[in-house]
Amino acid sequence: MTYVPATRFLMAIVVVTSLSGCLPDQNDSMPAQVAQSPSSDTLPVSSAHGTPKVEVAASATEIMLVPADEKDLDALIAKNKGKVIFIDYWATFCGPCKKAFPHTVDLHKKHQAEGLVVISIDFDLLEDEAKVKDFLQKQGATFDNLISKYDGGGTDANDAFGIGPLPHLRLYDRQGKLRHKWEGKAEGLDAKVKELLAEKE
Amino acid sequence: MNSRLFSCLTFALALLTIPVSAADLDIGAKAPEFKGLEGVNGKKVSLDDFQAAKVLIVCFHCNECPVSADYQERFIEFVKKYQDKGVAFVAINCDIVNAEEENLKAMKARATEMKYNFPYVIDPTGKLADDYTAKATPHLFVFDSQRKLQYSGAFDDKQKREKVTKNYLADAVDALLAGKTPAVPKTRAFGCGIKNKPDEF
Repeated sequence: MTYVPATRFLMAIVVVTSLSGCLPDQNDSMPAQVAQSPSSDTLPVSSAHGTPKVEVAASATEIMLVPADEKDLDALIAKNKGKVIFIDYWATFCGPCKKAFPHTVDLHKKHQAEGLVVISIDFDLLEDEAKVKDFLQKQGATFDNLISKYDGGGTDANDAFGIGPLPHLRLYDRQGKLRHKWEGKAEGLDAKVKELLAEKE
Repeated sequence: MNSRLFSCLTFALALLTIPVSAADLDIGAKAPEFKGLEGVNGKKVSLDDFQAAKVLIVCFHCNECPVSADYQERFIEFVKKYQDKGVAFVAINCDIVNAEEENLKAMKARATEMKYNFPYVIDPTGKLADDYTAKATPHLFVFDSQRKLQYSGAFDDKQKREKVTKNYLADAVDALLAGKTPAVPKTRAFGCGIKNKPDEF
């Protein structure tokens, strides 16, 4: 996987934007939001990297941050087959990521009852775990939160996860197929989420 | 199914099959021009200033990115080691959106504090990042004596210095100085996305 070229990326944005005219009108008749307690599911952590630092939530609202590599992420995606999965690849040093994060939380709140699963994966140094958790806690990120086992920036992390510089966002359909990917601003994200949620499994 | 919907679906399908390919500056491409960029030492810097250099490294850098900050010392040591071998190094800041943090005054302070031994200049248009297809800070571009691109990507393979196993930049420069072609001409740059367009995030 190589970078999305800037020009082609912009072109894709234009195309996606114009494509939204093709989609059914987005009306306001969304199903009523159902308050749900945060998922108690934890990631299957492989033991290959030593003792996993899985923190046990003291209360339902305490954020957990689970170290993960690409295989762990794939396993989490596979486990959620049948749901639409949105993945936010981010880091505390990524300004645009932090700016967009409340929207990720909003998407989860709005659509989890319809079958949207949200996963965040952070790329800070592992030693910055407390800072990462603090941000997630303040954001109310009550979904699966991962931190890259690759310990900060590196060509290994980028190659393993198939990403370039952050922000990076991905949307998988109910079959577990990667359908959309954004590098930078997530143009048309909400419409795509609604579109994939409307698809049958 | 009406014809409009059909054409929209066809369009959507076509869109999904658009390959994500690289429009990165090709290996062998000429160094994009720059002229009169203001630097931290008060001097203006142009591509032509480096005509005598056997190898020129253009490094996209900024003040606020912690990944870039983690590489400053590596840049300084690199320049110390290679400056007498006909290797020139210039750091360009294109992160103009965050003007409060990324400005010549702040850059001067940083260069003084860290004792930068290379020119650190600002591109007030931010356009050079696009011309060079720079994706992140830091992102390095190595040009041979003909100013043809011979390597682009990361400085090394790991933000965390004690975990570095591959010195991509040094290896590429060593190869060029020995009259060879770099064995690894391209790696994925990692770090902070370059914020040179106000509307992008």
